[in-house]
Parts: sequence; C-alpha cells; structure tokens
Amino acid sequence: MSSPLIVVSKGDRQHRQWNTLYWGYAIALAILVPLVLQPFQIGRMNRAIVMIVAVLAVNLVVGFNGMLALGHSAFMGIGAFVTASMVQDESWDYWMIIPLVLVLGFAVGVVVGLPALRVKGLYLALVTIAQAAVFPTLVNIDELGIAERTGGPNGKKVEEEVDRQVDSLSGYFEFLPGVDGARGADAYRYWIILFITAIVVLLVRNIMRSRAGRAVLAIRDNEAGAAVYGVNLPMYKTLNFALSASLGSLAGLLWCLDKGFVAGQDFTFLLAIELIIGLVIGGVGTLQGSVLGGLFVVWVRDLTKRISIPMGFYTLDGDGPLSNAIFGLILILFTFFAPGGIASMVTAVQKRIIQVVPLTPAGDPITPLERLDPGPSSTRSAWALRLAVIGPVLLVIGWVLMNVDNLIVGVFAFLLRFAIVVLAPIVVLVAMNERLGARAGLRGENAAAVTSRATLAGVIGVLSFAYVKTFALNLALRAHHVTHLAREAVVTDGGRERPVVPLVSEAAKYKDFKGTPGEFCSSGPGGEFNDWSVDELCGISSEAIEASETPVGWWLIAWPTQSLLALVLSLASIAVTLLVGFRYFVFSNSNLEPAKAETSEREDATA
Amino acid sequence: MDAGLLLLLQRIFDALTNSAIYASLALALVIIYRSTGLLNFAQGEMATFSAYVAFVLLVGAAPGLTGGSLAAAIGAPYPTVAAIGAAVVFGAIAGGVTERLVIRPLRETSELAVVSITIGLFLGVNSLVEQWWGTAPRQFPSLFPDAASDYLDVAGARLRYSAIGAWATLLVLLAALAWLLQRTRGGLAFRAVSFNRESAELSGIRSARTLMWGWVLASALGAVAAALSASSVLLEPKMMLRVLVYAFAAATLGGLDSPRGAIIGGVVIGLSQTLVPAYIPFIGFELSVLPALVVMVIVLVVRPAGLFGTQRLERV
Repeated sequence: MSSPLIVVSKGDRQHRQWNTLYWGYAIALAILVPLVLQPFQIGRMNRAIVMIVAVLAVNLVVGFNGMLALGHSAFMGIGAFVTASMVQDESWDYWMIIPLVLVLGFAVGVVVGLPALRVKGLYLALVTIAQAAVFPTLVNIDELGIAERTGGPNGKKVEEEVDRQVDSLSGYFEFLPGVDGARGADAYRYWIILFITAIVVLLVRNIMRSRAGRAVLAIRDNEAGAAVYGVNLPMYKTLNFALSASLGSLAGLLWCLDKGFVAGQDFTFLLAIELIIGLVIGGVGTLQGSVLGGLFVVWVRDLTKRISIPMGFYTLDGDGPLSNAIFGLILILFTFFAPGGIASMVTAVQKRIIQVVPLTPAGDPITPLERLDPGPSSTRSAWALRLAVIGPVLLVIGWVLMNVDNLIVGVFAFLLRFAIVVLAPIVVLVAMNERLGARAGLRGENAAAVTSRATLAGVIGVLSFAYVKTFALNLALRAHHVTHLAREAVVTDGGRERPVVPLVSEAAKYKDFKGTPGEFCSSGPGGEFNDWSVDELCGISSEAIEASETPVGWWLIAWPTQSLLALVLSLASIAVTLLVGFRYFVFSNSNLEPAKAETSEREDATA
Repeated sequence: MDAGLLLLLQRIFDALTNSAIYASLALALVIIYRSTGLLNFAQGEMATFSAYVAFVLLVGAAPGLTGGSLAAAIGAPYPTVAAIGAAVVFGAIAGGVTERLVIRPLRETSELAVVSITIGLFLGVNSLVEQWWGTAPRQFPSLFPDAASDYLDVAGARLRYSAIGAWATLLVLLAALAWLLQRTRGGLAFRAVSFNRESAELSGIRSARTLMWGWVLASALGAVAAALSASSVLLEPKMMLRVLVYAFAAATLGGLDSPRGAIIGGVVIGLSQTLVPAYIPFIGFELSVLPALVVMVIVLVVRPAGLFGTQRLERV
C-alpha cells in the first residue's frame, strides 16, 4: 500500500485545520440544499434526512448491539400517527409532541423487546417481523376510537401544517437560508428536521462513548464475555432496543411533519426492509453509515425510478416493479463486494489521503511525526497526477450527465463537477510542493521523475480549476443579472402598473415546466396568466433568458440573494482550500530535513 | 349436534387448508434454519415464482403471458399435476442454484450479510414476478375437486376435498422427507452436517454440497406451498408475503429447529387465525394476523426456544 498523502498528529493545528475544512464543506452543502434545490427536491431531501434518523435507530440495535431487528417501520408508524392525531385532533404544537413520542416509543420498545431479547439468536428478528406485519392492520381497528384517530384505511391528513407556523414565526426565522419566497415552507421544514437530526446523531455518538454504550458494544462483540464482566445483558439489550424504538418514533414524527399525511400502508414491512437496506449499504455499526444509508435509500430509489433503457423488443423500465429489483441487486452486490458499505469505502479513500496519528497515552503528539512522512520516496507527485486526471474526468462525466434531462442526475452531475473545486487546489499545491522539494534535493534519486510529474499535475490542476471557476462565476453572474431584471420589472395589469415579482413567485408553481422560457411564454402554461398580458410577463425575459437552454423553473426561483450567496460561498471555499492547503504543503518541506538528520542519528546510535 | 359445536367444527375444517400451507412453508424455513442457521426471507417469493412457472406451464401460449410461448415450445399446456410437478422441480433447482451462487460464498461471514442477501432476493424475485406477470390476480386451477358439492359430511360440518387434499399432500411430503432424511445416505449426511458441521466434515462429508440439498428440499416444499396457496385463493405476486409471516410465526411457535414443531405450529397458527376472530368480536377479520402473533410472543416468553425447539446452551 502506498503511503498516505498527508500525515498529521491528532489534535494538532494541521489536524484541526483539516477538520475545519471538512466541516466547512459539510455546512456549506447543508446551506446550499434549500438554496439550490427546487421545492419538491427539498421535500425529498427532508424525507432522506428523516430516513437518516430511522436508519440510525435500526443501527443502534443491528449495528451496535448485533441483534437483528426488522420492525422499525412500526415504531415510525406509531410516532407518525400519534403526531398526526395530536396535531390534528388536539391542536398541539409539534415541539410539544416530541417528548410524548419519545416516551411512548420507549415504552413500546420495552414491551416488544423484553420477551425477544431474553433469548439469543434470531428471535428478535421474528418478533419484530411480526410487529411490522401487524402494524398496518392495527391502525384500522374500529374499537377504542383508534380508526377515528388514525383515519383508518384512508390515512390521516394534517391540515395544520408547519405552513401556519411559518407564517407566524417567519419574522424569527427569515434569517435561515431559503426560508422565504416560493419554497419557504419546505426550507423551514428542512431546517427543523436537520436540526433535530443533528441533535440525534450527536446524542447517539455520545451514548456510544458512554459506559452504557460500551456495554452495548461489548454485548455485540462477545456476549458471554460481557456477561462475565458484569454487564447486565437483558437490561442493556432492552434499554438499547427501547432507545432505538424511541428514535424510530421520533423519525415517525419527523415523517409526519414533513409529509403532513400518514397512512397505514406507508409503514409496512417493506419500509422496514428499506431501513435495513439503508443500513447495510450505508455501513453497519457506524454513524456515517447511517447518514449515508438514509440519503441513499431516498435518492437512489428516486434515481432508479428514472432509469429507462430500451433493449430492442424490451424496455428496461426502472419506474415500476423493477425499481425494487435494482435495489435488491444493489444490496446483494454491496454485501458481496463492499460488506462495510459506503462508509467503509469512504474511509478507505480517506485513509489513503490523510493519516491521523493518535497521541501518546500522556496526551502528547508522537515525535518525530516526520518518521511517518513519506520523505524522499514520496509518492505525492504521483498522487497529485492521479487526482489531476480524475478531476477533469469527473468534470466530463458531470458535463455529459448534465445533458440528461433529469433533475436527480443533474444534482449528481453537479456534485461531480463540484469535486474538481476540491481536487484542483490540492493538486496544484502538492505539485508546487513536490517541485520545490525536488529542487531542494529532498527527493533523492526520484527528483527528475517527481519534477516532471508534478509539473504536469500542476498544469492540469490550474487549467481545470480556472475553467470550472470561470464557468461557475459566469453562471452566477448571469443568474444575478436576470433575477435583478425580474425584480425591477413591472407589468400593466388592468391599467395599473404592478411589480412582476409576485407574478414570478406565482409562476414558480410551474417550476417543473421543462421547456425554455420562450416556449413557456408562447405555448406553455404561461398562457394561464389571463389577468395579465402574457407578452408583458414574458417581456421581462432578457435576452439571456430567451437564449438560455436552462429549464424555465430554474430561472423562476433563482432569487438574487441566493445566487449572491452561492457566489460568496464558492469564493469562500476557494479561499479556505487555498489557505489551509498552502499552509500545510509549503511548510511540510522544512519538516523533512531535521527528520532526515534525526533518523540518521538514530541509525548511528543503533549501529 | 349442538349448533355452536357444529359451527366450531366447521370453522376448524375451514382452517385446515391454510394450516397445511403454513405448515409446509414453515417446514421449508425450518429445514434451512436447521442446516445453516439462517432465516430465508426470500422463501415465500421464490415459491411464488415457482407457482407462476406452474401457471405458465398450465396455460401455455397466451397473449400477454410472459414465457407462454416458451412453455408452448416445450409442450404446454400440461395437465395440472404435471405442471405443478415441473414447477416444483424448477423451484428445487432454482433453490440449489441460489444457494450455490449467493449464499455459499458468504456462509463464513456475518449473519447480517446472509440476511441482507435473502432480503435482496426477496425484493428482486418479487419485483421480477410483478414485472413479468403483472400484479393482477390470476385464477389458478384447483388441484383437487372443488365444486360446491365436493365435500365430506362429518357430523353435519363440511370437510372439503381440497382441505383433505392439502393435508394428504403435506403428509405424503412429510413421509417422503422423513424417508429421505432417515433412510438414505444423503439424509444421514444432511443430519450429520446439521448436527455438527465440523465433525461431519472430518468424517468425509462434503458439507457445502450437502447444505445445498437443504435449499433444494426447502425450495421444493415452498413451491408446493405456493401451489396450494394459489389454488386455494388466487395467484398474485404478493400472496406469499402474508403466508411467510404466518410461517415464521408457526416456525417460531414450534421451535425454529424442529420439523415436528413447524407442522404443529402451522396448525395452531391456522386455527387461531380462523377461530380467534370468530369468537372474539373485538378482533375483526382485518386483524386475523394479530392472534397468531400474540400467541407467538406468549410462547416466546414462556418457552423461549419454542414448543419443540432445542434449548441452546453456551459454554463460557
């Protein structure tokens, strides 16, 4: 195995900087979601985040405690129905229901888990399957007013959605990105769900580091051993299962908050299976795995539904029963070839790029760290060259995918193209550093090869970075320009002049219209604006819009503030990457010299 | 005879067909659990697939029926019993191939991995069936005489021929299975491998190949269960999902490693499913799944290893 690109000591300045960079990107992505995605996509993102909580709940039992549980759909259902009923029938606020749902889920978890967890083996799986199978019919019982509360077979709609709360609270929450305009309600839900999910993830992380969490892990790793060390098996298993049930119910609450409608057929055995799929594909027994798995089940399901491959006499159509087959196939392939899930793949890549050296028991960094540094036999320039090639390749794939008329593929393509923003600066900096190192004679016999590779990598890096940034800036500026025009524009409505902006926000409901703005005005649904002259409404479209191939929906909801914010974020990302990268790579050469000297001294001593 | 008693007898008779179906699928689950210690979630779906194969062989070429012309090419339409027999053979082979391709390579890894595989198979097979043959229910010809007058009068209650037929089939299968396991060399090897794989391997038994036979047997049993189920109600892609849940309950009830327990569990579950909603008005027909599962949980509390299962002890 080749040595990692970067070696840092745990907790030192460089490590902190890399962490900051990592979290910076995570937060930037989180902020970009409500700004860049369209309302229905934000809704799907909300669903994905809800699934993160649910998968995490399953992970508590399956991943951290090693028991197989297949009934979390029922816990989600309990949470969702209780929430729907309390909001709709009792006019509670959502935040008041959170403790109720948590306690209720915990209690149900104890009742279900206690009999099954006394025995070793697959019995919990069987009991929970039973529970998942029976739940959808339970909500239809007429007795005790259950059907009345749950809406029975028709499901229950929550009329008082958060929209109401958005109206009354918008004054307080307008500062959140995206909470305004056409997608205010979706974005508002997004922030609430994201906030609760973040708390849940943090909570689970801390519990797993506590005494109870270690007991739970010990039971997974060696049940008999844990018992010998005094771990109360039934108690910890049951508590853990109940906690998991309670988080599952919380996911149900979020589900209801997001969807505003709950029905028994949403919480069948198939949902439980979907959670297991998310868990296995994301990565069993890791927090990142739950996050990735939750995102995976929603977004990839969405993607497979859009597959349509004509194969002669037969069309392979993903939007039908086959979407499940594709899911099943993905699950089997993952089990075979990546049993650790996506999380382990990410970790493997990460390990090849950065190695974090732990501290000594006393808490001091291990010195000299440079012993771990690849030094003269550095493969960094080879790495830089590889990354420099990968970046443009991703860019090309992204560009090709961008031309597929499909929003999800578009988002994926965007992420691929985004990768180059991260890769290119690293490539340039590594290449610069290697050239310097080779010139200073620190690369030994490899110097010539290192120099040529580093030069090539650096050139590719600079070119691709410049290309992407020019492209992005151009796009952002054009969007800003056009939306600015739209805000200034007025139309004549029955003799009165009025601003166009309300019209545009109304037109946002046509966001799915796939044609160009020209088509929108001439033959598309733009004709429905009867009260206002269509020509006038569409007259505001500048040449940029007319000429654009961008689907009309994008223009209609691209508000100036958001495009500006995107611009600022992208500039900030460049700055952060440059700053952190520069610091590290420029100083790393000076690290090498004393290390070399020290190593030789030690060799002398041993000799 | 007292009218109430008569009604009870009639209800018990009505439950018989379902009991036989649950028992046979539970038996399939138990065979696989005994030999490999895993639950096969795809058991029901693989069985459904076989039932559709039987259907195609029965009907032959028909407009819109996937595989119809292929079946016609090999001589379909077949008579009912031949078609089902062929489908059972098909199911058995498919089960063996499945074991060889996706289960065996992962046998040494974690429990969750194998469960994920069977869940993946469950989804895949189910959606293939839906894709090829559609979700609309289809009329499957009855295996046994099933006209309105085809019943045996037992003290005034009607014992239908189809129920007798289902049980006769099950009993014949049981006898065949018992003969296979108790009287043949392969059966001895199978029992040895289930009992202690390492020792069996040391005495020269090829355990991997033997375990594949477990899957073959189980899939054949499942195919029979699906054919019975399809002929007693209608043939549809989701028909075995419900049956699978009941079969799990039956297997748990009887003890996951006990074939005898699976049969008795199947009967108990089938009876409770029919009798409890009939006598407890609170539980409507919609909820007929509930009593079976409550029974299962109670048994787990009182006798964790099931009624006939072996208590597992662990040496520390």
